[in-house]
Amino acid sequence: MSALPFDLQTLQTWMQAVLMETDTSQRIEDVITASEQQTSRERFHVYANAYQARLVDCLREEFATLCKFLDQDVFDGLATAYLQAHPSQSYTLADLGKQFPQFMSETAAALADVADGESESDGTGTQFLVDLATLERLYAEVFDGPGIEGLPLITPDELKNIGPEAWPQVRFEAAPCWRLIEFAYPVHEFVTACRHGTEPPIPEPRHTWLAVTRRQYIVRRVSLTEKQFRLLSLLSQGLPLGEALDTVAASCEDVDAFAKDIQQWFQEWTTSGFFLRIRQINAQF
Amino acid sequence: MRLVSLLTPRSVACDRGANTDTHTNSATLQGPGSGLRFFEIGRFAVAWISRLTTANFENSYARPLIDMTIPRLGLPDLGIGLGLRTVHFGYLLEHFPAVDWFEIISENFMDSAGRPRYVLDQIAERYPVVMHGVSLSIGSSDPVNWDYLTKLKRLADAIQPRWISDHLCWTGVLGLNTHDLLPLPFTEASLQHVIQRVRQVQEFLERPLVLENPSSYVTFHMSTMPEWEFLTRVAEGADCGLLLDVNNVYVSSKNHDFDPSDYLKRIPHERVVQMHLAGHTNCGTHLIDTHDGPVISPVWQLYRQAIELTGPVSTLLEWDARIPSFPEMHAEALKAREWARAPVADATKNVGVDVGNVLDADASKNVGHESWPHPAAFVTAEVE
Repeated sequence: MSALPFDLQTLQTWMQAVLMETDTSQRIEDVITASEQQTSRERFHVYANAYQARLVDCLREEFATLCKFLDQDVFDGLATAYLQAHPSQSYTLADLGKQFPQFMSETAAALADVADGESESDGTGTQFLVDLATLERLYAEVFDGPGIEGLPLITPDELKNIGPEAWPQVRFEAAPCWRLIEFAYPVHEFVTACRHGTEPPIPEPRHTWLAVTRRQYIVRRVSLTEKQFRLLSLLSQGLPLGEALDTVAASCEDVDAFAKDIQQWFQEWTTSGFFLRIRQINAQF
Repeated sequence: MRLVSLLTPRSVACDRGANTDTHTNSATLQGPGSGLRFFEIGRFAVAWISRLTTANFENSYARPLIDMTIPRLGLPDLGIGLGLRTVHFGYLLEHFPAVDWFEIISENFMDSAGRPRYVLDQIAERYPVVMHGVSLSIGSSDPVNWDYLTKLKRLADAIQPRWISDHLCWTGVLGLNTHDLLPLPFTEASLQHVIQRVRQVQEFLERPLVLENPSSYVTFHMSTMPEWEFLTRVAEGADCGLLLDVNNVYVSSKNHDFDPSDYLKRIPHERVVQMHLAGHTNCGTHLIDTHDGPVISPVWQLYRQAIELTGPVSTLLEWDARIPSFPEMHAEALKAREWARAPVADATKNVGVDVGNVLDADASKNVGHESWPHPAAFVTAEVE
């Protein structure tokens, strides 16, 4: 700071920089008065301590399983580094952790050192942590984002009313709260176990495909097979059903078995509220 | 010079949706300086006469001993309210308990399309609701965040709050948000800056803004006036309401070595639309507004004094950390009714005695746990 903050803008810029520890000049005594009980510096640090503590606490709540797994001190160190790199630019704390999974991914090398021996040299241990953070963030977004409550959804019975000739051209419109995501670890099982109060061991790596959605304002996750995941991914991209099925079937060894499964899958997916509606050319169900 | 300034007609914000029993002679005319603001002749006249008949001033901004202006800017006394918190959602939806009104943290609902918003809609259908924000940053030197205000107004249009409040503070600059209620330097320049911004916000929201005195932990060498004077001049200059947080007055008075009773006497009582009560943490050398426990006796006594000065005012208990069950929290809030009826002489006397040694007086309360102010809370997801 080259000059004392005699105007509001300079004062606020200075104070925020010191709070966020981006200004280390800290001529606090020149700006802040002392009280009968505290020095200027002691008083200022009430704000400085609160800034870190409050926001780290919010991240602990959002990434509760990750925090529990890492131990709080390790998590707090990560969270503090994240806040330094990505200070909040939003009016809502709901956005605070938006970039945290990405930050963890970018700092994977450092994570390997803090994962307390669980990490492998190929980075799979850190991948578990990144997966964990990604899932917890996704849960938060699905929980408070747009949903399907109160909206009319397609039903399994409505599927039966679509004529065989129309099926290849139908397109599925995904529910706004519906997400597809894949992980290197079954982190959904780990998170659920931790939320139920158990302390499960770190799972072995297992490629995991999930659909995450929300019904009755509660976040739900559905495990998928790779074929289901690929089919749903193509449908979510707007491909007609026939084209999506052909694409997935092309890589199937047993096409007949695949064909038998499809009807059951769509029954389950509509029951789970994956789709808001089905669209055909010149028609809507 | 003072008398001339007192005779200058001041604008009075239109109290849309307020109690009509206080609106006599309610013809309206458009006020100068703003195409959107309206003055109410009845209230205006009363306020003006009040200034003319008040001669006993200690200084330019001292409050008259008898103020005949209409209280609360004409907004209703809602009774004893509670903050709407996620941990109580299940209880509230099951019981819909008899509560006078609820206050929400605006930012927790502005973007919500999930369960928080669903619960809010259920509550707003059944109870009076007030919107209380923590990110308006009215004192920031950054430009006004119109995107934020647009969303705030959209929520207000949907749930029809009785009023909208926020804090006399700033939360960040350069596009950042510290999510804290940071103190302003009490200077003429920052005063004019805030007044101009409050006017902008009120015109956009088409309703009066109600500003709260935050707890603070520092004061600035550059300040040229006490907090009560800054608060008063903002309220009168911008023609807005006040949310008097009695616990904050207490906390700041201990942190900054001033007399909380004197503070209460000097603010414009007719502009106090709402009061806040809360618990705080005594850290030995200072107090922190943690909202994590019951209200302590000296704060109740200050509340009694405040009610005596303002008349009946909507009162809300804030409890944002280590939150107890809803019935327990409600029981704590309802103590406000008894305190409002307590003999004021005793209460005032006790507060006066307490001023010099409060850090010792309640040193045993809430000491030793992790403490920081809680202006906002993160909403945790519910997963199957």
